[in-house]
Amino acid sequence: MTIPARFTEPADTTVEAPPKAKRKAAVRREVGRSIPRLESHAKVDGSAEYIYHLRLPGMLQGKICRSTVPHGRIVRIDASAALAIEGVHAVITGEDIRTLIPDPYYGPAFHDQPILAIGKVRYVGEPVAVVLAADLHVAEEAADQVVVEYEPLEPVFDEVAATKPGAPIIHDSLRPAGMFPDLQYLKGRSGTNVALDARVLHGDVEKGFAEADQVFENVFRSRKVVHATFEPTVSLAELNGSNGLTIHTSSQSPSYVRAEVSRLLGWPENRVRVRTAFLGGSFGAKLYIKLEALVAACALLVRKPVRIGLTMEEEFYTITKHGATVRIKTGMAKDGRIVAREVETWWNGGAYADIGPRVSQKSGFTAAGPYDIENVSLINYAVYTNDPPAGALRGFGISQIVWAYECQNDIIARSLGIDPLEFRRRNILHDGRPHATGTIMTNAEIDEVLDRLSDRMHWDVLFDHGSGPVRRGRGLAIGFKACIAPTTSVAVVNVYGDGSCCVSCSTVDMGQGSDTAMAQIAAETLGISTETVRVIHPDTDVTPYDMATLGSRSTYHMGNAVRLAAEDARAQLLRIAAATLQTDIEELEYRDGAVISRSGARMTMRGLMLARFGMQAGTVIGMGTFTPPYTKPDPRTGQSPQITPYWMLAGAAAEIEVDTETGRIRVTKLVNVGDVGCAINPAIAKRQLNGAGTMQLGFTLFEEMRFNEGQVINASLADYKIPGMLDVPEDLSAELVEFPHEHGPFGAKGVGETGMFSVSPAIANALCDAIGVRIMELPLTPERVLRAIRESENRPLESE
Amino acid sequence: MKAFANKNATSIREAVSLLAQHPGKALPIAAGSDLLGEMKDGIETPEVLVNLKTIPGLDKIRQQSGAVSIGPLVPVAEVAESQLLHTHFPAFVEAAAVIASPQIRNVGTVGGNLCQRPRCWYYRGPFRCLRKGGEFCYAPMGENRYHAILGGGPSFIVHPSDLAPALIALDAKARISGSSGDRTIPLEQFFVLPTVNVQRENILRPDEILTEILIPLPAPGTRSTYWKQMERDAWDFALVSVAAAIRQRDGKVEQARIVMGGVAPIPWRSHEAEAALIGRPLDATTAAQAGDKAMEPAQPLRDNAYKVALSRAIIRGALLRLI
Ligand SMILES: Cc1cc2nc3c(=O)[nH]c(=O)nc-3n(C[C@H](O)[C@H](O)[C@H](O)COP(=O)(O)OP(=O)(O)OC[C@H]3O[C@@H](n4cnc5c(N)ncnc54)[C@H](O)[C@@H]3O)c2cc1C
Repeated sequence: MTIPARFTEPADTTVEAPPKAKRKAAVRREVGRSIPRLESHAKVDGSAEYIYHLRLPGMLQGKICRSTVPHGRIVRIDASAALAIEGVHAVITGEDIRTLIPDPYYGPAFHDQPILAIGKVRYVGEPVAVVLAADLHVAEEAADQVVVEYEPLEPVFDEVAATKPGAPIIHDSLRPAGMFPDLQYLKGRSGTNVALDARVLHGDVEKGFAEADQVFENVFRSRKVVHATFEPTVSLAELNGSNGLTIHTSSQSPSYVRAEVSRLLGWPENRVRVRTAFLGGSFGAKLYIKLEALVAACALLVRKPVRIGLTMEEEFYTITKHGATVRIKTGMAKDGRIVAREVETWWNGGAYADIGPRVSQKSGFTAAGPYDIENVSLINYAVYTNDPPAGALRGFGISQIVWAYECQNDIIARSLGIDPLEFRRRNILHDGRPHATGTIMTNAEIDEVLDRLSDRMHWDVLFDHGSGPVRRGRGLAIGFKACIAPTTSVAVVNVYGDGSCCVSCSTVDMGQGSDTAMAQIAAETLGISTETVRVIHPDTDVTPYDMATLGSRSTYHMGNAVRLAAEDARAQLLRIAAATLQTDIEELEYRDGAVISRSGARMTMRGLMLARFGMQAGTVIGMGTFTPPYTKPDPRTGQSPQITPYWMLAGAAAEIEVDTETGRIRVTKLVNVGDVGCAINPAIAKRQLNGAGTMQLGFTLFEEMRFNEGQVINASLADYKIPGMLDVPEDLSAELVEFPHEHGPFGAKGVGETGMFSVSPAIANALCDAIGVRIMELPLTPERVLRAIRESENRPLESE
Repeated sequence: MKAFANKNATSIREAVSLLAQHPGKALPIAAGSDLLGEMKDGIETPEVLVNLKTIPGLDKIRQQSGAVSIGPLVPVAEVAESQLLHTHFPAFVEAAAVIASPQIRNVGTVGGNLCQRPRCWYYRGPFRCLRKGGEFCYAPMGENRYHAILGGGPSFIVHPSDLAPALIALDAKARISGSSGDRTIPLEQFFVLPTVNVQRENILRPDEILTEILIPLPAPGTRSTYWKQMERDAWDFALVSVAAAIRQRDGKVEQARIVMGGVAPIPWRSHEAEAALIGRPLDATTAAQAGDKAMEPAQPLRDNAYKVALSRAIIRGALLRLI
């Protein structure tokens, strides 16, 4: 057994980070401008393209017939009544799919999910059959008439119970997918519901606890919630020529869809074309395979275009955020330093793994928080249950973890009589210090985040907690995430004969403003104005590979690829000019569609084209590829010298009012601070923080999926409560911490998820500040708050 | 959604005769903000919809001698914005103003609001529950934090309307027209408990529609208010609500009507709370006592005991507004 070097290194290892002053940004024209989003007008006047609106000639609509039991064997499927309805074209079942795809199981982590159920169902809502008809209403009516008989099996819903001996086993055996390098450690397994147990060991946690002056242990839970995107998931497939297939889909990962559908069909990737448009929100719901394999199989079986668009209700059966149970144990020294922390997390992955194992492992390794702790042990179980599958949701598990450690940090700080802000200052992980995985923290501005929070909240000013039934409180929390690795982005920048240019990339603009950011990066590099750049939407026939639009990775990865592509195009143009003008390339500059030399000579685009192509037309194509370095963690200890390309640091603080008679919390002030490296577009970056903050506010106060024996009972936006405009805090603000990251494009890091991390514990900590009541399970509904208040007064509600 | 035929009624008489022609297969529709949702979810599957919006004159607010008449097709938003109604019936206007969202208030009608169906998630979801002709109510054993604490059994839905408690507190009357004639009843008697009819919330027969609401002008010295407690601030049904109308003379409560929403299968008038106030001054003590008395008969289920505490608090809060 070898122990990785990093693991044994003394805890005081430091690495010199570049001094902050040296990392200040240079003067720029395009990057750093708060340009309005390029597609704003199109979205207002209705001309922006969404796949949900697409209709193809001769198209059939599919309606999915779904499982009504959480766990069971399929005894019989009888489609005769459905087929008898006029207008029904076909009813497709799992066995039909098998005639086309003998092994119809997909998934980014495990090949565990059948395109349509085969032999067995594993959750209520699982697709069992599809009715196809030209008229959607006919398909809907017929889907109700498909009779499926089940032999029920015992289900298990709780993530902890599912790991216990004797729990019903949901998958007989597991086959790792092997597509992504960071998931290659997944093992084939059988006889367990634990898809993965990922560990990080740092120092000696038992010794740490033994030496600690005080040990705290708590369990925190968060329930399943959903993405609630306003454009529901939709895919269409049509035959493309004699041997190809085109899939139009609301996907965040077109490159993956092409690869996975090709694999399922046994085709070369070039026969499958996948295109997307704007997405009406996504937040992780539209990653990997959702409906694409199903529409592809249906279209090939019936030789007609097929569309399946989900209803809002069906979204609840398709993908959710992980519920999680987090047990966190912390050893403290008298002086307020954390000396040991052990975190054990059970991730409720639902019936199919989707990307759950990555969520568990990636978020799991940050579970001790952005703190400098000598002894750490982190264990994460990715668990199968009979709930709908869980996958990525804006933050990828981070908010469930921060919920635990930031609530507990406040519990500890209060118990030791240390101010919560001061408690964090004493323990934060500074640049140059090793994180629990052994990777050294760099470019991580956590001190600055704390400073800004403190300023914005006037933390050192005495706070009025109010009197009477409505009390006030304030709280804060910090959190962090390691960006996913290793991944690749490829971009092409095409400069046309007139000097205008297009950026081709497979980053999906799902509302986050990536088109504008990529245009700004290309424009900055080429010395042109952003508004003139056009960004071509993902189409795998045209746009090059990208891992996916997820995990706040696009600005950094694709941003770098676009920058490199634009630099490549610019270099080619300069080379043409240098040859023509017979000057040194260093003497030349390309801007506003012309090359200018230091001596004053100038070559217009026309001249450049003439020089290169002998006529006034042509194209210069720049290409950029970006893959940051990565070292796989040791599977036993989780140690890696390079586990992530960058850390995303964040903090949130809240002021709340709580009505002690109704239990209702009103958040009056919410501040979100994000360490973004450099904001390519400050207005958009702030909107990302505020948008994420508001989304997490919903997860904190209102949102939770409720189940009755596996059946979601609040699968509608009337019953599942996302925040409305009136719930948005009156004082909502975001602040950007900008110290350029040394490898980011113009210093940028990701920001899409940052605003999610810290909101829930900040509000729960404020609640405790207001009334001394601690709630360890989300969401903080009036019921839960009132219940906790009454318990703390020894007058439980049940005495009513 | 199942296919259906739409019939535009041009008079009340035509509407009720169309309903009578298709017994059990036709439903009246106003703006459809509730009914179309039910049809999309397959809860109601009418073959014929009788459109009331094409009947002229049913969308008016009219002042009469001693009363104000509200047509069933008056949009909720119009109630919320009416100066006339605000002058006489603050509870009614306050209730209208906190319903759903501006869009739903603009389309949804007063009649539709009073006749809307329950929001219970078992009733709205894929469960064959008692109210849909099934064997049992899922709430007592299931997820019941929004369900009834009063008047429940065998079904435990709560009535979702905000307008109904306010109108009952204001002693409104309802006019009902059917193929066999008209009748006018106190709105309080319009709603029925599950013990009377487990599949319906009101006394309307299949060929009857609501054609008018009459609210008597309150006696001098009457004050009214509506308090609605929600989980979020917009677009939410009441967890618990209370409408209170109080008349005081010489520092004592002479008349009190206290009606709660969100607690029972019907708008729940609390005679206990009213009795606790009559003949006594309205102050913090009596207001609290009214809340306590109102909750004496409460029988919470596993998860909804908080509604009892909540009810006490908001009854007291609403009454204190009227001092
Ligand atoms: C998302 C959402 C949130 C909501 N929130 C609230 C809320 O907070 N508080 C609240 O009180 N309400 C709320 N509502 C209900 C809303 O107020 C009603 O949907 C609306 O008032 C119904 O009016 P309508 O004209 O659309 O009725 P329709 O949908 O047309 O009809 C509703 C029902 O009443 C029957 N009906 C209609 N008119 C008559 C009549 N004249 N005689 C006999 N039967 C009739 C119909 O047959 C149907 O069964 C909400 C609704 C939605 C969709």
